Parts: sequence; C-alpha cells; structure tokens
Amino acid sequence: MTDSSLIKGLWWKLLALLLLLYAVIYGFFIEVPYFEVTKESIRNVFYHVGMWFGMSAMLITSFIFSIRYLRGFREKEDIVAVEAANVGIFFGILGLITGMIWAKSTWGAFWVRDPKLDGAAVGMFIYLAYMVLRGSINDIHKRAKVSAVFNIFAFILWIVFVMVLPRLAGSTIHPGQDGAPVMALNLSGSTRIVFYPAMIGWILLGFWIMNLRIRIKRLGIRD
Amino acid sequence: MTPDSKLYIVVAVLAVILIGLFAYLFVMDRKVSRIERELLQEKESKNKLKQEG
Repeated sequence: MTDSSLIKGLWWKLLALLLLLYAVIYGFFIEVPYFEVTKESIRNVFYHVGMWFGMSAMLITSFIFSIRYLRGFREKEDIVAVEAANVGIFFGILGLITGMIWAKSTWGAFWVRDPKLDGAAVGMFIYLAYMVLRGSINDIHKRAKVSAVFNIFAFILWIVFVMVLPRLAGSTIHPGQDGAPVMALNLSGSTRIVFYPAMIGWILLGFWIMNLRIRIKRLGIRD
Repeated sequence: MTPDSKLYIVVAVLAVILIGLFAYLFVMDRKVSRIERELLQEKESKNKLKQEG
C-alpha cells in the first residue's frame, strides 16, 4: 500500500458504502407489504427512518462525550461532542424534510398537528440552541464546560420529546409508537433484510462524517 | 416490478450518486490523512532539532 492511499478504518467505511448500495438497489425491488395509504411509498422506511437512526446514534455519541468531558476536561472530548451533535442536526434536518415530503402524500399536508412531529421539531430546536449557546461564549474552556452541561440536559429532553411524550399522548398518527420503532408497520421478515442493513449503513455514514469533522478540527489545534 | 417499467434506471442513477458521494468522502479522508501525517513529521523533526540543540 502506498503512503497516500492509506485510510484509517477503511473496512467500516467500505461497509457503509456496501450496505447503503444494497439498501438503495434492493430496497426498490423487494416485495413490500401493501397499505392503501402509502402504496409503494412504504419503501421510504429504508431511507427516511435511516435519517432518525443516524441522528440518534450521533446524539447518543454526543451525550456520552459530554459526560466524559466533564470528568476530565479534555478538549478532545469536547470536540467529539460538538461534531457528533453537528452531524446529528444534519441528519435531523434531512429527516424532517424527507418526512414532510412523505407526509404530504400520506396525510395530505407537509405538517400535521401530531405529538411525534411536534416533538421532533422541538428536539431539533433544543440542539440548535446548543449550537447558539456554544457560539455565544468566547472562552473555550468555559464554552466547553457550559455546553457539556447543557448537552446532557438536551439529550434527556430530546428523548422525552421524541420517544416518551408521543407514546404517552397515545394519539399519534406517526407509526412506530407501539413497542419497538417501525414494528407497528408490520414489516414482514423479507422487508427487514433491507431495513436493518440500511439502518446500520446510515449510522456508519454518520460516524464517518463525524470522524472527518473531528480530524479537520484537530488539525487546527496547536499543542 | 416489471422490467419495462424502467424503474431500474432510477435505481442505477441513485447508485451512481451514492458511489459518487462516497468517492468524495474517500478523497477528503485521504487528504486529511496526508495533512495529519505532514503535521506529525513536522512536530517530530522540531523535537529532534530541540534535542540536538
């Protein structure tokens, strides 16, 4: 291997590509359960839901690294926390947009009054507030500490708004509320062989983008 | 899914876009790796100079 072709963690980056290629190709041809309201658009679960799986993986990472930062005040861990949250927000925006497109055809409007949708929107605002908070503090150590504390609250609030409240409300039209997410769609066994690889692929893609953002940020730090 | 529905054309387009996006990420990853190595070498040679001087 020549020096310039060296990529760290090449295997899982290639795996992300293979899983998503598989999901995009086979996801169009596999037999899917028929619902009058969705018809073929049910295939969106391989892609739209992937945005939320990607976002969740990123926000969990961000949460863990904010806790780790508070235990030792290492700047490295603050960088992971903020970049994970950045990629999480990116996935979240894509999840909202793709959800709106699908909602328009399924429910007749881009946005409907619904605990799950409103919860997801509020969750996004909490993380946007995290970024605004970071931007408003100039001292890097103070910024890292204050935003790590905020991030821990943000994650718990996000779980409450996206996972807990829609279930308590009990009246959401968005599927995935009974027990494990998406199970309410009655995904047949054959659909799952696309669904789960697709979710892993989206999550790995998120980790790759996060990894690049962290490394680029570290390049700018002189020690 | 009938072959004459030409759905496979859309799938081919999506596959090309996906491969293209990943190729872009690979190129970026390689560039970052190269800069990381250069910075490391720079640091090592500086340390060497310090020890000698």
